[in-house]
Amino acid sequence: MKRVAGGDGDAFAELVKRYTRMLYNVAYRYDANSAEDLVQETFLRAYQHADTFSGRSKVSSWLYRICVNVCLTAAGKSGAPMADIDEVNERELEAKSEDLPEKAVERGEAFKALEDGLHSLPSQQRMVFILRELQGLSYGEISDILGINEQAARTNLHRAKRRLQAWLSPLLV
Amino acid sequence: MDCSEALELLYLSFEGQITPSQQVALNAHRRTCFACSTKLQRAEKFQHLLRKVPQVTVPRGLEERILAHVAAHGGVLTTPRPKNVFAFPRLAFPRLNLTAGGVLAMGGVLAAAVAIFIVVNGLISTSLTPGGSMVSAMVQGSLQSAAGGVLSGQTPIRNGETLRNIGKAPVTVAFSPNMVLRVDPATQLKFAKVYTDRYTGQIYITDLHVDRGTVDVREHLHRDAAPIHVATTLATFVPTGTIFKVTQRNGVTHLNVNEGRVTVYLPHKTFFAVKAGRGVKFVANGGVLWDKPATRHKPATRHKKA
Repeated sequence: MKRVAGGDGDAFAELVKRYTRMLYNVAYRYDANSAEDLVQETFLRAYQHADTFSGRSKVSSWLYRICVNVCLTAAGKSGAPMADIDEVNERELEAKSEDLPEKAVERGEAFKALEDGLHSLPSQQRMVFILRELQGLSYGEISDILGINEQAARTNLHRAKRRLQAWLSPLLV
Repeated sequence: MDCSEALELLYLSFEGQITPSQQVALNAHRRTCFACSTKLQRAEKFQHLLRKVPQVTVPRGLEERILAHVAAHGGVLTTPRPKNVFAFPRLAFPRLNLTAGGVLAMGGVLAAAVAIFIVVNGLISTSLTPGGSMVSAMVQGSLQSAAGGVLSGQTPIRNGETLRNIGKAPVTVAFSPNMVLRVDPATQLKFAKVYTDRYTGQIYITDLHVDRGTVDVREHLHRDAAPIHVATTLATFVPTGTIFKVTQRNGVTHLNVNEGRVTVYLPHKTFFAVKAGRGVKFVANGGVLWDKPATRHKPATRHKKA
């Protein structure tokens, strides 16, 4: 990272090569339409602020944190749902589970339905779910990346799972 | 234990954090409570589904586009080059006991080898892979260079070159079949940062500054190459397989996207996307004004007199 901070193009190219897949997966699950822009912005910020990397956390955690900030900021600007976890309405969840396209159920497009359900989650729940269930990070890492405590991360995850499970219930019979 | 507690314990068991006593309680609840057995089964199926979610494949060329994007916005980066393209092979020389004449002879041979390498390398580099701080373009019409001279037909456009359309008709500048600019009359452009990769022949237009007038960009790279970056004093526009128009007039920038999508980068590191069919106006105080979407006028209905 010191070489990256010094403007070493080869070191930065190595960083891009090593972490593009990881960050693209997070960005794609968060917002498939803007994933490429989000990853590009993440690496741009990483390059511009490479000198602030202290080495206390892993490089991957540091990049995750930048990526999460970019995603959440972009969502805020584009008017995507940013509801607080307390605003989750159980009745609304039940109503949304009825909107699941029947064709998707018939064809067994479980992953596509999961993707759609994921996009209906509030930003923070969606991000916790992606980091925990799809990227396999620990609650400690998630709380560090998102700047929330571990209990809040657990609560977010459980609510996200309950919501997604309700969304996918026709497929899980 | 109620059913919601049972569900929480089941989630804990998925993460391997359930205690033996909690597991016993959960099992007992599942045996006796038929109300939530379906719910718990669904939770298990859901967890099973999550374990099968595949990783997303990264689009081809994304790493190169990231490097080009950072080079354009973050400062100068040394573009990584293919290694050992014209490198000398590593040879193991045996130890030789040479006389003074032998040393001279060996020196002569080495000098000749180096000279041949330099000449051949130069020939190959210039004939097969032209590169450097310029791009080649086909200009239909003529553009006047600020440095003097007129550009027309197949011509190089150098890094930092400012061009004007002083005619009365639009001028087309084609860098490739997939990247074409239409420069309207009374338009001045500065190719602030352009270069051609000498190894791949790939062109990079990482800063095309619209000083005044209108430029229509048709870019159909489809993610196969580095996108053009069009800038004014107020914003930078990065398209993705797009047709769009940028107008700079009286200190105001106007962006119109006809096809695809354009990412807009504003000062202070903020950005947003503009989709096809939308237009945005940027004013000097940092204001961003979206054009009103086109509304369909309902045909006037005629009321029959009773």
